[in-house]
Amino acid sequence: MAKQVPMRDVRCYHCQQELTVPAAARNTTCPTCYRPLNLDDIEVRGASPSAIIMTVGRLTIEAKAKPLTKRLHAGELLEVRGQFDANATCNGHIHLARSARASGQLKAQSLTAEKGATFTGLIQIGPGTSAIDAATPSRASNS
Amino acid sequence: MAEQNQTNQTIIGAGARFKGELTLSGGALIQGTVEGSIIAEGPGELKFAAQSQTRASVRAATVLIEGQYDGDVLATERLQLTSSARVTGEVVAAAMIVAEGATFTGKVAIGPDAVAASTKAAGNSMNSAMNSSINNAMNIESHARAAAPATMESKPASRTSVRLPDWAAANGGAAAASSEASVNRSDWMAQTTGRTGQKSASAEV
Repeated sequence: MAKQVPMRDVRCYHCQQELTVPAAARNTTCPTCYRPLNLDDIEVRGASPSAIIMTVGRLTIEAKAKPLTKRLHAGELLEVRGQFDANATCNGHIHLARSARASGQLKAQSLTAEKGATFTGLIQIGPGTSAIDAATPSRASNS
Repeated sequence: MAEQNQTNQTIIGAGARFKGELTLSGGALIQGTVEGSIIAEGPGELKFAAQSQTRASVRAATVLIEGQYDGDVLATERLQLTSSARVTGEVVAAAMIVAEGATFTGKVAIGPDAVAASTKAAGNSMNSAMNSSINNAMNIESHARAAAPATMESKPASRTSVRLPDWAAANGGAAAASSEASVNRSDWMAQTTGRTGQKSASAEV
């Protein structure tokens, strides 16, 4: 009898198509738009030079991180403990910790900003707000 | 209709409509329609119920929105949007919680510096409004004083503290005293003192 592989549901951050992938998979290709998807949880610790950081998993900006990124996307959770100035989208929840120093534009399904966090910019919360522009290049990087 | 329950909390009940400026010492429960501004001084919670419809500017320590809201919010402690909230506008808060299902679109400034700046700006705007009203009142009073001499007394425009020379008085004081009199200053200066015309600048009529 074949061993059942645990699976999880993810959403392509290019075409917003839902798909099911093995839980242990680190990357895949969207069967709809044929673009690569990063499935890893990403932790940004330093000054990441990447222009775009995207994942269908969790994205964490650590306390001393100062990413130079201008666009962030997380599928499940975007947790900000450090500093960034970018447009960030999340299919799930954005959490700004008290040490967060952020600015830009946030789009998510829900948001929490702890007392002490600093954010300036536009926020859009609600259904259908976390879609990435179709012109976004399919690029993802790990710290 | 606004009423107070037994716990001394202000309630704007469902179906009630309030339009204007509301200043509270504590918290309040808004269930109806509010248009204008709400200022809640003190640590109380300002709650907008699910059936509420608000188009106002709000300043309070803690703000909980469950209904429809269109306007600015200044929450010095916490702003919380529940799943039924539909909010648009500008927000300044020390902390913010937006539950899944809520809808929010607008500019946001989170942090103690933003709250302090907005609180100071709000206070200055109130002070400047008061000062401008005071200044307006003072300007009206000063204009009244400036206009008073022209209406109360009909003085010739050329009235200054000028001592007329003897020849002018001898040739007809009335004509010399009128503002239309053509005085040859250089002649009488030369005749009387022998000084240059520069000296007469202080006695210009």
